[in-house]
Amino acid sequence: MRPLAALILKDIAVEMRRRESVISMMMFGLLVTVIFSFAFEPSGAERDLIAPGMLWVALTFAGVIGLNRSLAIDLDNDCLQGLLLAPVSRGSLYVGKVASNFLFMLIAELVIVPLFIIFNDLRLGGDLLWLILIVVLGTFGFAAVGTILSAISANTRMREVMLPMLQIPLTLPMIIAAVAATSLILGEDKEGFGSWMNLIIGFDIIFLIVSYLVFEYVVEE
Amino acid sequence: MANRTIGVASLLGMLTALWAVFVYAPTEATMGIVQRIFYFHVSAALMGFFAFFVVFVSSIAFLLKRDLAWDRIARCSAEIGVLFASINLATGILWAKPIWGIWWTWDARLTLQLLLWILFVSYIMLGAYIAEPMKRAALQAVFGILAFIDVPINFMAIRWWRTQHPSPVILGGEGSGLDIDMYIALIITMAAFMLLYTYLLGHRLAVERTQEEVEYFEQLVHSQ
Amino acid sequence: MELSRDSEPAVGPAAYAMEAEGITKSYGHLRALRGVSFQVPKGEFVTLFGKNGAGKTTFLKIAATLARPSGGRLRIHGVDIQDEPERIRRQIGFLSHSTSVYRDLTPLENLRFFSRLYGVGHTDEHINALIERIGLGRRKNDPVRAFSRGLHQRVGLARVMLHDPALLLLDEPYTGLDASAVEILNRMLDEVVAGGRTVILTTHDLELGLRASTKIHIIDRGKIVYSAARSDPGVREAYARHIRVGATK
Repeated sequence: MRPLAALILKDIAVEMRRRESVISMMMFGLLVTVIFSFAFEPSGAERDLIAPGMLWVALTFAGVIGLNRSLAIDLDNDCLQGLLLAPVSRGSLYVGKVASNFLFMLIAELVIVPLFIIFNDLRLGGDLLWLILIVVLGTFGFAAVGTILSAISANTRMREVMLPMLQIPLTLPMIIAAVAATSLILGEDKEGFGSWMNLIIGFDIIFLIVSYLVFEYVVEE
Repeated sequence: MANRTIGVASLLGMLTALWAVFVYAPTEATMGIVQRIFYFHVSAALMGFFAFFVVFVSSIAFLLKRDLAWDRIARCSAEIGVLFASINLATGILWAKPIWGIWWTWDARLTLQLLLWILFVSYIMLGAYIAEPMKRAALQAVFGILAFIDVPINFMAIRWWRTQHPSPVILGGEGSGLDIDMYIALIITMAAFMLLYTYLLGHRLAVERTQEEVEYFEQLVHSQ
Repeated sequence: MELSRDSEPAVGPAAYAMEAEGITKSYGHLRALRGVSFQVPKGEFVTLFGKNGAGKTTFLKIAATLARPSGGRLRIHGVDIQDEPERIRRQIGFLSHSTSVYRDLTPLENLRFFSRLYGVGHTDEHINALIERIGLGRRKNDPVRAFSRGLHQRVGLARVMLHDPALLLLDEPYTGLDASAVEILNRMLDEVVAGGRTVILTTHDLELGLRASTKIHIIDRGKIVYSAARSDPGVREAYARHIRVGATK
């Protein structure tokens, strides 16, 4: 079995034992959705304007929660050391972690997104597939950037608090693009959808590659 | 020494820039005297970006060479970059209020400049919370590289976002309706700011080096 | 209890398992290592004595490719660690105080994962047999979280031996072990050496350190201050001088 698959299976095995990462992401995403609904109480057309932003704020914060929990697993008992001793490149360890984080976020979103649609009474029609595409690509970008940033912030005194401070500015272009693409989906005019998707894909690829190259500097002493 | 020369040059440069902006450059037709802030605003913005570029290059150099001298340059450039980015934002606000009657607008340029400021601050905060120097330098270098790559992507994203949802544009196009005299004034100001940046960087580096030496001797004394 | 196979481990033709030349390591202003140089021939059992903070852990981490030296060169089986770190990791096993096993997983799951990660692809039968041999047969389906320090360490040792490394690096392995756990560890180390492997072990306990070693080095304030064969009569005196009383220079 390839080391990459082993890393992902390990994270799945631990998560199934602990059951904390995915569940807390789901709950948090749900809570943010509820808070927004109380805070803004939009109706009708207003709802469609605000909804994309609300959705991505919920997914962003839920994602941060998941990333922090996920890294804590490897920091416990210095398991990271066991990983670093393996005859695989540091970059492969990074990719393995991105894959697990991506997977868990998607699972949480399987719950968060439908609930969001229901609570906000969004009409998607046949555009559901496009929404899924945006969510999948956007989540991948979060996982790619978030994994290396959580490894960085684990070295600071502020730990978990540092992660969103680093992640939100860095993922801003992707959030802008995802929100824009989502509102195009909900609206009539789909003009520009392709450009936004290209930006998300470009973001994903660039940050995945750069993070892969510099990850070793983050984990070595 | 060399930095003193640059310091003097920078002082002369700023004086020349002040003359160029307030005396030499013609008054703008629609906005009047307030428009003169534009020269400082744009120059500060450019220097902010340049400072970030220096952070980027120094970060790469540090990861390759493992020499803390590069890390020092990156950190000092980041601090001066925050300074210029703050001037940038402040002048933007000072310009907006009299002309447009609003303090702030989320137009493409200002949003990107705010983001640059935030990235600088995040970079500095990251360093503040890590104790061991080599580790801190490595992590800051990685973040510096990621943050700099983020800037052009942000530029595109924010630009597109704003073409879809236009909002009042404070500056007008950068090159729109610029008289030749205005161009000259702008270039003079930019050159003056560049000299100022170089002087500040050299000075800050010297202070930082002295600080590190003091800390070294402190810990020598304490370990006896 | 046999963890190692009988045949010689396949490594290069180099005579030395490890060669360190002028290894330095600084953490900011703190100079943890100030030029460590020594060689470890293949098949030796080397004990590295040192007080807390002398640099034992730092040095071992560098040898294990977990930390980058600030200066100097280090070769393992003739290969520089900066040149081919992945290949070297295949040949070494490193165990520190933290056992680096996932507390939520069972010994079986942990070893299965590490076996896959290290690319050795042991079958479940092989791993189960291994677990039996280290005496954890009855606990093999319990999450490691509930284990005592001694049992924990056995899982860690199994992890270290999974890929059958030719060089073992053990950082203070006796810490926190009770008498029977010490027994088991010693037995395992004896077998490992009998199988032709090299061991570098750090400790500040004199008797445990002397028990099976062939050579000893003493490290103090980041430098090697004493080296001798284990049988050398001056060993105990050197230990007392550097570790008990402590050098005041």
